[in-house]
Amino acid sequence: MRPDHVCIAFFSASLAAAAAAPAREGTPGLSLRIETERTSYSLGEPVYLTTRLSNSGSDEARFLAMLNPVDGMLTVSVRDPKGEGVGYVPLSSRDGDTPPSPLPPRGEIATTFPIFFGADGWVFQTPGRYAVVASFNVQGGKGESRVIRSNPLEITISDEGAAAGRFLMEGPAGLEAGRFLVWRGGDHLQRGLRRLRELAERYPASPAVDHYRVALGRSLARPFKNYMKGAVRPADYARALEELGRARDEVLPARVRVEKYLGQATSLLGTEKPAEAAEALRRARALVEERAEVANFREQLERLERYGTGRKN
Amino acid sequence: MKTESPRLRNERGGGRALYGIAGVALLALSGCVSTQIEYDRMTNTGFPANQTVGGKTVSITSIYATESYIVGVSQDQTNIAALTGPANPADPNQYDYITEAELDTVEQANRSSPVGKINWLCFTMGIVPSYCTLYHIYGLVVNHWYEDPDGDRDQNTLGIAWTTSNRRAFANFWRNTTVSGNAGKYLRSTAHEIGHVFNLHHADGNGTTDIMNQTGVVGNSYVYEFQAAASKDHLRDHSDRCKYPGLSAFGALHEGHVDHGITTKRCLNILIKPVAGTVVNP
Repeated sequence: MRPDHVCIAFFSASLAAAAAAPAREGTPGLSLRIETERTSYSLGEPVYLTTRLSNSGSDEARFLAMLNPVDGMLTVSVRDPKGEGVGYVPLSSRDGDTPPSPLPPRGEIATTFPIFFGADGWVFQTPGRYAVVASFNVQGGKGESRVIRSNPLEITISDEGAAAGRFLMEGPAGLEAGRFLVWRGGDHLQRGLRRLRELAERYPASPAVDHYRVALGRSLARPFKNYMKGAVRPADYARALEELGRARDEVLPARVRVEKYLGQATSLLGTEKPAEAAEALRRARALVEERAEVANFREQLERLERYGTGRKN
Repeated sequence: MKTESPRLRNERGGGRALYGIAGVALLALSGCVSTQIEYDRMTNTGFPANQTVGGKTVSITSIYATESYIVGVSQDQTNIAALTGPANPADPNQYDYITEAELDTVEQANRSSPVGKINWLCFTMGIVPSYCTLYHIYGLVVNHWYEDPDGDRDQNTLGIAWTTSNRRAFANFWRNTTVSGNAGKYLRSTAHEIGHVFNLHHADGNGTTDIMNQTGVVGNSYVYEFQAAASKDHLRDHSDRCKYPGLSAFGALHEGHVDHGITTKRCLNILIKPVAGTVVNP
């Protein structure tokens, strides 16, 4: 290792002082907003939170621009109807080497992610009003971190269709089902997949079933490396199209619709139907252009567009 | 003045004990708490190598020993073959990436150590028994980049703790150029992921140099130390259930910990939370 790459105990006194400095509240010009597409959800219906960080100041801000909780810069507090803390903590935490980046004046970054299931299982387990607030830790790598708090958000979980929600979430199989819905895959989660299949059979009108069909369709549209079997399960485009086609757009949030259209495009290209794939890509493109919070799907979209264009020619 | 629990005193004694026969004798006499990492890797990857800083060897074990933890690393399998499948002209690079669900299958196929802890009677002095406790972590180096659940292909992720429901495992992504090309940062990132397994968060870092900061935050100025008070307090003072691997969920609250705004449940119950009003097999 190069000596200049490591600061050692020589500087420990000054570093200890930095370590003792508490995070400061607020950063001039930066504000954090959270929202959901609806204010009310059925019990068991997946909830996605959108976060928007904007710079209304006159100076450029430089920090780790990571709004997804898996990166550990943004945390989400959810309190149940009794006021008890119930999460949300994501299923993973990752370490990246992406450096801090600038956010210019009047600039905004946004993303959207699931908050219905995390490290501690299902988050919205009973009907009622939940209080949600997010905090973002602004870190630019120079030691002084600042915390920005979002607006408070209330999410109502209705008891409409509650039997379906309770069936979905129940017990160890419910935990596997939640994991599959978040991971968008997991052939080995057999108990969870069985629970989801049974949910679709017993409660076909439940919105959770539409989310299941998107998750399953996305999973089937790609191969799955199953090390427990020592084999790759190839993509099954026909089944993927069947599942994705049955997911109702009107109950899905925009980001899940983008996933649906990308899954359909993948499967249609895989079955040599470039014209129909182009239509699915057009729908995905419209949402990605319209909504900043789904910009992270742009790379997948453009990869499929490039391949699709080649097939048409 | 802070008082130390007998177990903490044992841990502190145990941390130093690694380095001498007298210490080993003390370990046996007083009982011990330790953590063992079962570390596997895929073919054509490497484990993080020890580094030399200021003439001293730095390893995962030495990093955690500075916080009085005994963490051993057992390099196990070294030739897990990365699976590939039928070529897809629409997506020729898809097998270069691995998802969290796929990581889960690697662990389940290859992990031989239990999740959580084992206890055993390690010494009896007269009629007074002394128990030892061993916790387990599974580590894995994959010959892939990371693909997130959205399908984003992320070449900037060095490592991940993907089992936050009980903090039992972590993975390193060898295809990331920092992991495969910068041994110093690779060791740091591994210590960072193990920190997550011990229920430390990015917000427990000091924002500049220490282990729990993201690699992107520290850049080239980093130390192999836990410097922030939040990290040190957690490792020193919090209950075993809140920090040792396999015992509670990531983020589970513990008395006195810095409020990261997460508001999770306390680190008491894991894995199976009954859902109110549910009926089994209706």
